[in-house]
Amino acid sequence: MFKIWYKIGQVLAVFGGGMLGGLGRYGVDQWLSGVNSLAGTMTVNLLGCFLLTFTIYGLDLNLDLPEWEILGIGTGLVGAFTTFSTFALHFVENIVQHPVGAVIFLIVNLVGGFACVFLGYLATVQLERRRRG
Amino acid sequence: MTWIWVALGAGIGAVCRYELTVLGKIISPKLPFSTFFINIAGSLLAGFLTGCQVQGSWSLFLLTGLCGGFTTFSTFSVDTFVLIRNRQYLAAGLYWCGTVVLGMVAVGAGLWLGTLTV
Repeated sequence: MFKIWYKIGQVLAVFGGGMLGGLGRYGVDQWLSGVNSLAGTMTVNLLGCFLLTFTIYGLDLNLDLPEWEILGIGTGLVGAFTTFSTFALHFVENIVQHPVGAVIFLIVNLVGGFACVFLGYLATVQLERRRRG
Repeated sequence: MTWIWVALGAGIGAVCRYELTVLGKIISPKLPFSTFFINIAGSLLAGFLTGCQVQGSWSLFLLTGLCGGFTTFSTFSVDTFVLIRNRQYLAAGLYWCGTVVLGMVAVGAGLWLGTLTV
């Protein structure tokens, strides 16, 4: 019996986090759509890469969060905040008419995303060091 | 009230992703096969929906919400980072290139399939 409730709790945490993450992505996209149609996706992906590293390495190490919070924040919120499908779709839709812009978009997402993961990791290491004194 | 469609779709997409990831960890604990599959399947669906020209609330629910919440760029980047840290360089390279190339091919195939329905 306990196992079923535990499972329901996990799914609800991911669902709730996913709703918030999707809304956040939609909000950023609406907000930046005046600048460039590709800016929103780029922003959420880079920010999300930093935040996910921070939540899975940093928060867990420092705050000792329960599993459902890690699931809700990491898998749900940050996972749904970033998007691979829109990234791939934007690239394919733009590659013929705006090849230069599409390639820049691709490189910024891929290289930038990776750099943000690394930054998130460094931030975590720093935090851990400071906590230990 | 349009935002409610995005939220619902993203919530459902995130739960589907979570369940598939749990399943994937049982099948292959060391390699991120589930995220690989999720991102490519989601790209195919996103291409298909765009090709079908879904509009309005359906587009927000299925494309922005469901596909967006189902696929994930952050886990993809972190997975690669973890593989490199574990010195599984070949796996990291294949995973990274494979996801990007097959994701683009999937979008193209989806767009083509979608236009057939219009």
